[in-house]
Amino acid sequence: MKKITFILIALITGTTFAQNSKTATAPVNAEIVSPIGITLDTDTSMDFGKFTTSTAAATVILSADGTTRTFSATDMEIAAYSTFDVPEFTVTKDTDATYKVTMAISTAVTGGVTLSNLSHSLDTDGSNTATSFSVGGTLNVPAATTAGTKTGQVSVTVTYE
Amino acid sequence: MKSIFFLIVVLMFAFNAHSQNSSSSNLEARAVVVEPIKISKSVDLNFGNVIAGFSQGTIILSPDGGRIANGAQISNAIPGEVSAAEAVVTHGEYNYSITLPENFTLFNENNPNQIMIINQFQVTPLRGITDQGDDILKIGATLNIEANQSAGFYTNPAGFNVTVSYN
Repeated sequence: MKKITFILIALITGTTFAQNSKTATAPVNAEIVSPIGITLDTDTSMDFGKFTTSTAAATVILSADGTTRTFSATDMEIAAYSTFDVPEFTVTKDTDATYKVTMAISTAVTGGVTLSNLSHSLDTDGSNTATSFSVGGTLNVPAATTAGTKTGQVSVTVTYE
Repeated sequence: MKSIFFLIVVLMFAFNAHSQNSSSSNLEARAVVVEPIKISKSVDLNFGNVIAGFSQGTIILSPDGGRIANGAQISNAIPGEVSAAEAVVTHGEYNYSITLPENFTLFNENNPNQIMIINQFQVTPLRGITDQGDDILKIGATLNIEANQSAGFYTNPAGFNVTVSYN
């Protein structure tokens, strides 16, 4: 009886050994997507231009596509200083990949004015494929703002979706 | 064993892609705020004493304060209070335009039905002595006197508007 038991164990062992040497192939696939990059185009910036204050708090709005600068109070506008600019960015990315754009005020604007409502010229979801876009925003100008140059910093990030 | 190896390979690529899937750029936001333009009156427009004639005439009060009478008379001995108007413009060295009225009506203080018309306003801007963007506007005009204009003190406390605006 003891011998029979031993043989059974040996059979199980033999079976295990037979399966251990079996081979199969499984493909490993990985596609490396080129990294996304963003650069600010030369000679572009978020420049609200030159204007004066109004009798009440007012705003200056740069459209995201850079076509218009809108004053909430017309007495802010100085006809001789009609130039303004929006920052334009070039995106380097994989051809097929889509991305989204996020923006933040990294350094608040100085001198009593505040920047808000940053907007960009693309879709707000992550379906963007364009290789360039521009950014606008709203500058809030209190009536008592002192004259001078006001500056701040804006951070713009593109992320693959 | 093979399945474990596969998992490791996939995880490695996944982490690699994640570290490069976003990129940022910083830019400067900029604006130049200009001091609002201001104007304040410092001297009224006074034509002084005028002697009306039997025909209509004019008194031209130039921005430098000189008077020229046409058809009317002025008394050099008793000129009365004569002054071109003055206003101070604060403009921060930016260019601006000046808008004057076409005409302005003066009323006899004792009889508002009797009037005189001022027109042909003239202005001479003088750079202020502070050189801080202040100018003095000297403003003159022409007083039109009807024939046999009634005597009296003619004025209009409403004042006329001088408007300055940035170009």
